[in-house]
Amino acid sequence: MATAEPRERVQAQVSLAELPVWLARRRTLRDWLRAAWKLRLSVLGGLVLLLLLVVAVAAPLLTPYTPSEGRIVDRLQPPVGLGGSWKHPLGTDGVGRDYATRLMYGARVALAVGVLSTAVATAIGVCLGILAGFYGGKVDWLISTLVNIMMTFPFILLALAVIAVLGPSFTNVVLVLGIGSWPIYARVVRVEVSRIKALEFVAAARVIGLTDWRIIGRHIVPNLVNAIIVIATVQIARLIITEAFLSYLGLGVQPPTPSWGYMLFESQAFMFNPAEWWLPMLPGLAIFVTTLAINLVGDGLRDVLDPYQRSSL
Amino acid sequence: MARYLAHQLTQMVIAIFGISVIVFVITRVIGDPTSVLLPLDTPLEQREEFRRQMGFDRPILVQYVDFLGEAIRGDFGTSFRVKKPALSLVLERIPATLLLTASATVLAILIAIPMGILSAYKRHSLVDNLATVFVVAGQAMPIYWLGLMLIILFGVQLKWLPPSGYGEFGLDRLKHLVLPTVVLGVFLAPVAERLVRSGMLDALTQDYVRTARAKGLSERVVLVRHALRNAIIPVITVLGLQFGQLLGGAVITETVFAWPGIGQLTVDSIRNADFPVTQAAVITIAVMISVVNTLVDVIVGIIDPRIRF
Repeated sequence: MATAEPRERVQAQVSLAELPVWLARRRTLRDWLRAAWKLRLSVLGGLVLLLLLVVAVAAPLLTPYTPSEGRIVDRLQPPVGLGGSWKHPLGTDGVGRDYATRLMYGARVALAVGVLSTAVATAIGVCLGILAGFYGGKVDWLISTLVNIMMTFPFILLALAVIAVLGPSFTNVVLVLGIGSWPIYARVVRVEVSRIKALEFVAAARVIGLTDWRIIGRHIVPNLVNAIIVIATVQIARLIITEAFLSYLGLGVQPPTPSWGYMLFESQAFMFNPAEWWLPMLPGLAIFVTTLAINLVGDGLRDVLDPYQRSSL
Repeated sequence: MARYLAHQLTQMVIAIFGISVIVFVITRVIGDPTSVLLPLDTPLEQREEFRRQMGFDRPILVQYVDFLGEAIRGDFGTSFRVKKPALSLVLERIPATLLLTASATVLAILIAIPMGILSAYKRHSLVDNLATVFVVAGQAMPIYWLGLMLIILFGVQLKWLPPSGYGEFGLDRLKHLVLPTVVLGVFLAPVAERLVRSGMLDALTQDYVRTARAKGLSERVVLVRHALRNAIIPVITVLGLQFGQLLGGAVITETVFAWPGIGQLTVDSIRNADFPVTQAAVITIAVMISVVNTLVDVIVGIIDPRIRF
């Protein structure tokens, strides 16, 4: 017999301000372990992410090679386990560059683009969402219509078009991905703001004569933080995937900066060599592991910060 | 119903109009068509002369009104690369895209419905956990990479299926369709699975399910006839509204597999700065999405008598 009471694994809803308290309440090691076990997949994702961050930052210390120079005589060395040597643990690419080194430096681009473009999107989306939700009327209609248009149309096409026209570069990619992905924040923030606006404490704030800006800044924004963090985490992963697709088409971050998407593009030349299947496999695996880790962390954050949002995303 | 339809149509027109503004701004205001049409070393005077001939020197609003007027009549100009009307180039790609999106949707539903029913019915069981793994992995999957891996495995190493292309009409076409369908299906299935699961979870708590069980109906009948039938409506609605996202996935899939659909054409036209084709393709896609979204709303209204407009 199926039991279908609405229950999820972690019940506590904690606001960000209460998070330290929530954490501090776990006094004993046992409590900590229990909390970690409940969120074990997210903890795992977090550890992977931490490792990636360390690798990205410390790349020059971790490898004797540079990502952009290779010896042509060393080209297409297979990874260890496929007949390669420990000199190049993950082999070398078509021009003899160390593959592991390029993957490590590629993490920099992926994480930087993901985080920065998400920051751009959050800034735009939250501002427009607040405007629409707080003021309503024509402003709301205009912003909501724009959100609807942008959310129903495949944004990847417009991103491609803009980058093709502006020319591909790190800054352009970050801006285009940011400008293309703000509607989801605006949509969620708008609903939340119009809900909060109707609550009594906002009316009270208005009665004592606070300005709109003060009400928004002091009373509304703090209530949005949880929802925004949860969306932003998932968005970082999506934008990393999108950035890699742009690079895969040659419209992302430009060489010599090594990016996973561009490595995928380069490796296509060897796709039909039965021996070199690992060349396209590794950069994609790097993208997959990164986005998987971020999504797992995102799931955990959603459980802790905002369990009611589970189904609405 | 008539009022509702009128409202939907207005929304549709606004959306298509909005997209036309966006694509016009990208290709004409940010981008400079003369930089594509003329050789790089063209002297400035000739460039100016050319701009005058093409009407690119007029106020931007006048140019837009002109563009819109011609677009409404289906005239997007001639492709810069192939000397053919842009719109007909776009329209002849639609069947390939519809074939791919339809087969991927069918595959996604074939995965999502049994998986969603089972994982809702046996919550926190092995099946449910496996379904969660599938959903989490599917949502983190860069599908262009999945496509490349499938090409390498089934097209290059095992040689079971053609690695890319469209193939000849018939069995050959079906063989070419398999891998792109799997990739786009994996893109869509996680969303569909979660929708079926949460719909079933909700339906299983309802009174009519308890009544059906009390009547002594078999679990199978209860699940499929009573619970699923009600759980499926939001699934259809959301999948319909996700048609734009599905086309986004199709753009990626078509590019990886050289599948000659509208997505691949759009990407090609963007990379070659073939602006008339880009404009025609983007607006055609916007029209397709709007039509599908409106149809879904109307169909759901017919299926579910509780929804009244």
